[in-house]
Amino acid sequence: MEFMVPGNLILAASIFTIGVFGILLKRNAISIFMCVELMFNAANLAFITFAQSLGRPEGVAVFLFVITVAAAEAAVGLALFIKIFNDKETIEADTLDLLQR
Amino acid sequence: MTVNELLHNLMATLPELILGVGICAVILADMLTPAARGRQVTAALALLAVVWGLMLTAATPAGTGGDFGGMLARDGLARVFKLLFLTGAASTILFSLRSRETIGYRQGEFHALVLGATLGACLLAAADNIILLVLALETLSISSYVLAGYVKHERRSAEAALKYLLYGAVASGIMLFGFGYLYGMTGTTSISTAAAALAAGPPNRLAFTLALLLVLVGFGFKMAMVPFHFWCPDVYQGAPTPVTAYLAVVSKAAGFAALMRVLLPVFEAPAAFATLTGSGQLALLFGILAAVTMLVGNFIALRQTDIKRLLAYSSIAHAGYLLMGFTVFSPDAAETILFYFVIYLFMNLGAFWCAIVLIEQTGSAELDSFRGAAWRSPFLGGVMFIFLISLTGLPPTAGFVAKLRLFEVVLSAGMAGLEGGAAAAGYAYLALAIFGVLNSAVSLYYYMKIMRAMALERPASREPIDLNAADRLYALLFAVPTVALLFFTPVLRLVDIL
Repeated sequence: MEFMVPGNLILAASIFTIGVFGILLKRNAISIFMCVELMFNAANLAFITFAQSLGRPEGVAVFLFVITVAAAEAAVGLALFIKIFNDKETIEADTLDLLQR
Repeated sequence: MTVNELLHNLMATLPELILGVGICAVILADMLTPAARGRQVTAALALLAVVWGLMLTAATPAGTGGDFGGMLARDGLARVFKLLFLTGAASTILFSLRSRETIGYRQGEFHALVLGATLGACLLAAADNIILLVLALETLSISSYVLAGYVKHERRSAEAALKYLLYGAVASGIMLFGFGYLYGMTGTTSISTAAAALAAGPPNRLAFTLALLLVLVGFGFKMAMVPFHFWCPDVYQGAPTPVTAYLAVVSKAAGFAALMRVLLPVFEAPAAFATLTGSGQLALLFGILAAVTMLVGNFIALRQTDIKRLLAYSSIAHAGYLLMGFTVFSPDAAETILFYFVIYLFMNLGAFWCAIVLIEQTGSAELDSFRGAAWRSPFLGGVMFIFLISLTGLPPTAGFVAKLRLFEVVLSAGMAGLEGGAAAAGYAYLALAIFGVLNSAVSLYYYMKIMRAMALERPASREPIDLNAADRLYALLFAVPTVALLFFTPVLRLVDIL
């Protein structure tokens, strides 16, 4: 499957770039979080592609762990989103201004 | 792996195992004890686990090689950072007993989360494998997000946690992507094996540098390095003060531990990586980051009026001083960074301890509310003065020696550059050292702003601040090392890792 490697890496880089732009452009905390998930999955794709082309298993292990980490992070994130939404009725990142001087 | 090997490996990771068992014990104890006494019981259990781990780590000399197929290194770097993390965790647990901010919630969860974050930090210090490094960093991060938002009814705490989470998640996403490409270039997840492969046959310089920069984003976030510091003041201000102390010491040190782990092969044998680090290009990068971090930290700190925000910018500035050590890739520089961290632990925890007492007493973190506090309690004013001049880097405190050694390393690299014919690099080092000294002078202003409020302004009230024997003991536990480590050579032997 050697021929797929460059294509996969370009795809991974594209997904990553979409994630980065999303973070810079979106103001809604959930949208930002979705873009972070895109970045995590871009990294996963890179790891699996390299694992495949190198014929070594570690990359696949990383991918499994990263999925777990992303789920844990999402759990904490969603709990905080609900808390903030209950207080403010919005989770726009711009409205988080209690701590700014 | 034979049974014997497995047992041997498990014994070597006993401090981490104790922390893991401690988490379960704390959660169980929290459920079984009545709410009124839960706080003391869980704190005692958590403290027991941390102190036991600390004593085991201190009793085990650093070795070579690694456990679990090279996943966990046994070297001095891991040992020193583990000692720092465990001391920081023990202090945080003690702080949480003194501070009333976290009362009213199940304390067991708080102590279990502190243990969890510390477990992550300890594994991170020893991780010689990308997989473990990422997992350990995330264990630390996710526990810290929850800790920052622990005081649920306080809106600022929830907001701080959300900001921390968003910035943290983005930073780990970028870091992971960088690791993905590093894995592709080196063909292994083991850091020491990858380093050997890189020294033997350097890959494409541009791609490698790009991947390294992406990884640096993740570490820079934890270290609160400019330009990844935006979360720092907000989170420090919004989080409960014991958690702020934890983030300022343990979490920051963990970021540096990860960076040092990745760069350790370069510190050990700089010549082998000459082609990869470029002719001083990596050093130049760290030099610029150090200068900018110092500048931003110190100058924004000047106009802070909230003690937690002020200490946040002070901690950013200290990240800048520490980054100066990364411009010189020599064993000496690695030891100096560790030495600085040992001192930083005591003086910063001490300053936070005084801050907690003041916040408890006045109910506010504004400098204005601390007016005359030194007259209401001369003891508190005295120890705070020691911590603040140590943070500034003035004699006769250990903070002075730490900074002196750091500047000396950079200066001697500059002198070596000038004598060795590399004039541009030599002048750059000299400029960086002078810049560091000037920045320390600037920091005197805002540290003394705290002292001025405490000692020179008219007291808000004449009522004495009541410190009990335990309070005085804790303060002395930090104040004595802050002064005494000045003369204490065993610390030098402890950090002598290469």
